[in-house]
Amino acid sequence: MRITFKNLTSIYHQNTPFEHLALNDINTTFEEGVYYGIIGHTGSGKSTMIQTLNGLLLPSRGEVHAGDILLRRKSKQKDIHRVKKHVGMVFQFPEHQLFEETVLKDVMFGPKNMGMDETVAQEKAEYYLDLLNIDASLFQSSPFDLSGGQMRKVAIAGILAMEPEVLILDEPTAGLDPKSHIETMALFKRIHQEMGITVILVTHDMNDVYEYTEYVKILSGGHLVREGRTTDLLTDEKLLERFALEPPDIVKLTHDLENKGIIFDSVPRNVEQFTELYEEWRAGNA
Amino acid sequence: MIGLEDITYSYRTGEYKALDHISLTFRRGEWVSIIGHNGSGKSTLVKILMGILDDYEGSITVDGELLDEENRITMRKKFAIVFQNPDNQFVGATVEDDVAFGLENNGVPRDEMVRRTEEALKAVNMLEFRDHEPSRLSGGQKQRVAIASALAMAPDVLILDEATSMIDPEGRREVLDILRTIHRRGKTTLIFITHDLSEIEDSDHAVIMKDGQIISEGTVEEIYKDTDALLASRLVLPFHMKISKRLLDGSFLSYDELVERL
Ligand SMILES: Nc1ncnc2c1ncn2[C@@H]1O[C@H](COP(=O)(O)OP(=O)(O)OP(=O)(O)O)[C@@H](O)[C@H]1O
Ligand SMILES: Nc1ncnc2c1ncn2[C@@H]1O[C@H](COP(=O)(O)OP(=O)(O)OP(=O)(O)O)[C@@H](O)[C@H]1O
Ligand SMILES: [Mg+2]
Ligand SMILES: [Mg+2]
Repeated sequence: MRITFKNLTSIYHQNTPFEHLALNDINTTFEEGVYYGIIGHTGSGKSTMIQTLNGLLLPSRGEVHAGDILLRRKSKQKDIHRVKKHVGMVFQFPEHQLFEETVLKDVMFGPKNMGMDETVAQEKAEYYLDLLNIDASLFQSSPFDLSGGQMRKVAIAGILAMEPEVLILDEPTAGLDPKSHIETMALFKRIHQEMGITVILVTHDMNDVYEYTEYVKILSGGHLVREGRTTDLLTDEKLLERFALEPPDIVKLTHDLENKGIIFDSVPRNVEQFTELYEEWRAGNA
Repeated sequence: MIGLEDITYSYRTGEYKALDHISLTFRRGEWVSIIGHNGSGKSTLVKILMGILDDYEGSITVDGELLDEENRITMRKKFAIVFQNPDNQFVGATVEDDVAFGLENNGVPRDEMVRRTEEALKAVNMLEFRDHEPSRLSGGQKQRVAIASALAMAPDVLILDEATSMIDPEGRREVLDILRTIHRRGKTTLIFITHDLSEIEDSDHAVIMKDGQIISEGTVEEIYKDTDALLASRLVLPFHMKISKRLLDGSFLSYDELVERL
């Protein structure tokens, strides 16, 4: 499913003293099957943008085209519902998403809502909970009687179990322990590749954006200020600095080594590639 | 000084021990980091310290005084905590009220309250949002406000439970800088929970938890060397240490030292 924003503007509490312009005249497209990153400073409008993508927020002005469905200021519940069936979103705060009595029921809600019967929904729920490393002993607990990281994993499992065409992730690794962080990012990548789904990742973790996404969109003060290939934008330190963003660790180290005269043929994408390039360089300059 | 002596806690009697015979000391002015896998008991531990959960086994002493039903409320005034989810702690209708709330509660005079509120909001770059409603902020803005509310209290013991997990890297560095300043003054005990091991480097003491138990503790250097405990508790060394392990001898160094030695 292709999603396009046309002159999208989003204003909180319009026509009140609390009016706040969160997104300003955005035009952009999310192509089918691509892995995107959305980055930007705190308060730049990332969460607002993705909530507009799945109909949780309607545009104040402009349009969202999700496949053949059009969302506008006064769209009907029926259209919003159709979009939500294709576009799954993991919220920035898992507590805003969880609501059922038990962990298992919570994760089954999505697939049941998609029309799967009870048995299939339970199979899917158990499968994804297991992929997220949630122990079966927690299935009957209330989703609110969990640790912060466990809650986030349950929230992620709930969206994956819907098997959406477009997967939106708002800070999906915040609160995960380092090993879970790596495993979860690897899981999203696998699902993206195997099922060909679109993934839209919102995060402050530039290392993940650099390692996993194909394209990035940069937001600043509610404006879409730049979009392009991840490898182009995230290696451009001047650009990042302009929008108060940090370079990924690997990029920073590669640049710091360049200043020492250690120059590689290409910019590595992860620690493994860095190690290889450095060892090659060391062998050639021994 | 705070002493935890053989603390055991289950959320439901007779069931799984969220804390399993924990003994731990926090000295005045010390910066202690607590790390460990999801569900290892970190938040439970600090909730016990705050007196939010109370039917535990074992004992807690604060500045030599045993914590009990009677002194719990007065003792709590020595602590300020930033919870993992900031939504759980907002009490004010505006950002400014929220920060001022704790001060007012503690009987801080009005002039001083206004000054401290402003200072704290300035420190986290949220002064321009003073009139906003806390629940209607972005994720990172909420965390900044929650931190400001705790800072304004100038508590004896400041607890941060993954308080910066949704703040941008620049903002995180600023928060760490604030903590360093507080630490240098030497009056405040800092208890800092994180999953990012690059953030523990300024602590005097670090503790690794696993399944409700402490499986390792020591200086940051000692913790970085305890590969078995790190692995067992699903922890990963920070980026520069990972590179050091792969390409150098793996010794304890800073990022700048790494660049120099490569
Ligand atoms: N419910 C709301 N009511 C009013 N203003 C809001 C609301 N939610 C967000 N805002 C404001 O809109 C702007 C954009 O917020 P948004 O949540 O989209 O930011 P973000 O880029 O996701 O930030 P973060 O990285 O901190 O999560 C912010 O200035 C915020 O204060
Ligand atoms: N309110 C609750 N009711 C029942 N069990 C709980 C509750 N809160 C936490 N637990 C359980 O207690 C254990 C410890 O949880 P705790 O929140 O202390 O972990 P944590 O180390 O803070 O994890 P995280 O890194 O995910 O925040 C977990 O197994 C969790 O499922
Ligand atoms: Mg956000
Ligand atoms: Mg916790």
